[in-house]
Amino acid sequence: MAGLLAMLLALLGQACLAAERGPQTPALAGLEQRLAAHPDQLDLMQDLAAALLAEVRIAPRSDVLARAETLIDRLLALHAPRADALDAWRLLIAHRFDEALAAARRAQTAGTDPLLATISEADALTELGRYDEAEVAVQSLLDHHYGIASLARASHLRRLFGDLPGAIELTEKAIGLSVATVDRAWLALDLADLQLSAGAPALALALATSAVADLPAAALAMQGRAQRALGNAPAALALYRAAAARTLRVDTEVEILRLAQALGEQALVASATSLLDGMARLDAQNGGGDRRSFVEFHLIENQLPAAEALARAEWRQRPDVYSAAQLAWVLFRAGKHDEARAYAARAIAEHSVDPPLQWRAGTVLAAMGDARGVALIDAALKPQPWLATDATVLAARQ
Amino acid sequence: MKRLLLLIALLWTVIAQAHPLGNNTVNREAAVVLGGQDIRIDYRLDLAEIPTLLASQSADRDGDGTVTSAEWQRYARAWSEALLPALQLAADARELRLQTENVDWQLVDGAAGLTQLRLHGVFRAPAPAAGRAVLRYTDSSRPDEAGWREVWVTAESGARVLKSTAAREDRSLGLSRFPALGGPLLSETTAQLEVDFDGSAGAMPQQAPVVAQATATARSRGLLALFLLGAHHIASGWDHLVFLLGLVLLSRSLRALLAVVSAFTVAHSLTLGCAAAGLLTPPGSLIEPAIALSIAYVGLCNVLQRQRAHGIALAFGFGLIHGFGFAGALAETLGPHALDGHGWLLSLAAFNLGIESFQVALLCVVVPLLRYGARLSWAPLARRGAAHGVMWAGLTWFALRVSGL
Repeated sequence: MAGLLAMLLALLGQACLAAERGPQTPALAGLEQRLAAHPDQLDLMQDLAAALLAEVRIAPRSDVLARAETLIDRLLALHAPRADALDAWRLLIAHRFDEALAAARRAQTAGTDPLLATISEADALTELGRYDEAEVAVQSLLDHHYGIASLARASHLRRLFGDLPGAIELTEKAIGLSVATVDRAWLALDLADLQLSAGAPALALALATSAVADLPAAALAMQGRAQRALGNAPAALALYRAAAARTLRVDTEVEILRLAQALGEQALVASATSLLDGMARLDAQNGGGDRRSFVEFHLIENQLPAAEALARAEWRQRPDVYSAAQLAWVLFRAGKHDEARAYAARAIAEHSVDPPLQWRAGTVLAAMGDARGVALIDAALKPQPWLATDATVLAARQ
Repeated sequence: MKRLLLLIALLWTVIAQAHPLGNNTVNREAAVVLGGQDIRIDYRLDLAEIPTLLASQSADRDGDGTVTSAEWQRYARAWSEALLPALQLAADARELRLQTENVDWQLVDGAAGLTQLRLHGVFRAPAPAAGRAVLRYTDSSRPDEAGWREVWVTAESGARVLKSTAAREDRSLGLSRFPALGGPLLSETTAQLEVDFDGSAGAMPQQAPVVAQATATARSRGLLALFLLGAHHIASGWDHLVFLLGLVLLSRSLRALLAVVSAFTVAHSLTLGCAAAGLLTPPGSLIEPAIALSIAYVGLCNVLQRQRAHGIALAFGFGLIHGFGFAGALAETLGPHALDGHGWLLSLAAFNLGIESFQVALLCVVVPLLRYGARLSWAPLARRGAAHGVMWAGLTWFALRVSGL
């Protein structure tokens, strides 16, 4: 019955997908045509590069990103101050956060695109775990550019600082201000994520469903997460597979592997493993943009040295609370308990509300006799009790 | 190194960059080939590493983790069957029924030790009755995949294109070459043309190899590019040029020079062929210093004025070594697929012909100059200086190549 329901849900998702065809594509084609007619117009170059980067956010396509990068490079050569903010954006996409921060600050000095410059600065600081500075940047965004972009970032910081109701409230406000359906869909998925952390998976499922038409792959994956939280693993697996059929993403594929293992679907385990193995090799060669997801893959595969190497590299490049929690967990699994404890302490330093983060950090601390561990485990299991049955977690506890 | 960089720059126009659009792209090209009696769609699909991984999972029918040739063949057939309904060809709004004529597949090396799948299908439909017709081609397959999408049109005897919305040339050379990364995104899936059919069978026989026809233009351009590459290689290869100068200085008569150069040519052609065919591939770490020593030795013969010692034998022996050097450069710059596929011998011949043509052109300039210069009073001194120059250049190259600097 559950399988049938899952199949129906997946089919429903696919039907929605079939109706949807890249809302930004005609706009991109129009900009390309205009730029072809006026190849030296900086405004057009800037608009097209921004539109391409926005497209990459919806569907991570390397050809689109390459086109954007070419335009940004050209803009940098022709009139660097115009391109610094866009440059910061593309560096963020490439996970080169230090360089993105430098570019964002150059753009702020030039003052050519203050909104994008401040957004990029806030995002880079958040990814670098420099939360106090990020807070200042986000406050500046709220003061000078109040709107969905500033509210979304403020919400994220609230959550990182442990204020989940505040984060939910700010995201709801942002939804109220959104005009474009694609923005509304992104915010709905952000809110769904927050609702999952708050222990409201049914609400998260409804929010994810509302975003399927505009952001099919991301929405289907979020539906999968919600179904997982509702305890319906087969439905979750079907939804993740539907998401992967739409856009192949490493994190989705890792969840497919995790669920296929839990459900004993051996053929699927084999195919997901082989796919992830190939993708891991490519990612290592291409700079490690999906490193965090591949740490999870290696953890599932019990390849602890590989997981540790990647988690350490990720921490060096992106020292935020999520990297700290992941590295703590990897080190704990590898038996390096003292080091694991130090990273777990860093992960919870901001009192962030994220059940998987709290569960992992809590388990490490509890095992080391730290009283905070038990409280963190309780806080994580209350909204997401399924974490206690996660196969990889169980394996680690044995 | 400098030479290598120059060659790479030249090759940008010649050789395919495997996947300019990334490891997760599916690139396609449809050539609409018009004939007097039929219309052919020559369709190529090029799957980058990740789509190939996915394809291999579908192709592995017995689920044993490996895909046999038979399984790939079955996969290619299934691909063509699924593709056929998505390809629409109509003349004056009347559908022309395409039928599969041939399907094949190939795996090539990709990044990170993975492979890339190339699928190729040939579909044919009868041409409309003689006279003018408006043709429309549409490909509605795989609409959401990222990658290169190209449609181009060409006419053989028996058909004349009057108007076309599609390009008339094969821009990616059968998906073997793409423009620079980051150019405007090419996404062509349709073509509308006005064609004048004369109903004749055309000059090409119906049973002619289809792939060869469709890629004839591409191949001739590829051969020209290889010819230019050969010429460029010798023109920018100072070590080979200095060696050649040494041989020229050693030869006292035009006849002797021709004999020596011919011996050098025959020898390096032999080893270049052997190396390109994979029969004999000595490591570059041995060949490059050996080439340098051969230059030093030729220089020494000139310094000691031992012209008659062993001219032809020496040129032949050292030509064998230089041939490996040419092959190494060819493989280094073209990559492992340099001479893959049909007609590799032709490709090799084009490369070699480029080398020889430049050599001959150079000799045509240098030899008369030297003959003229020999009458001048300072000629012996210049000859001696050149001999020393050749020898010391060879020794310096040897030292640099052995030390790895």
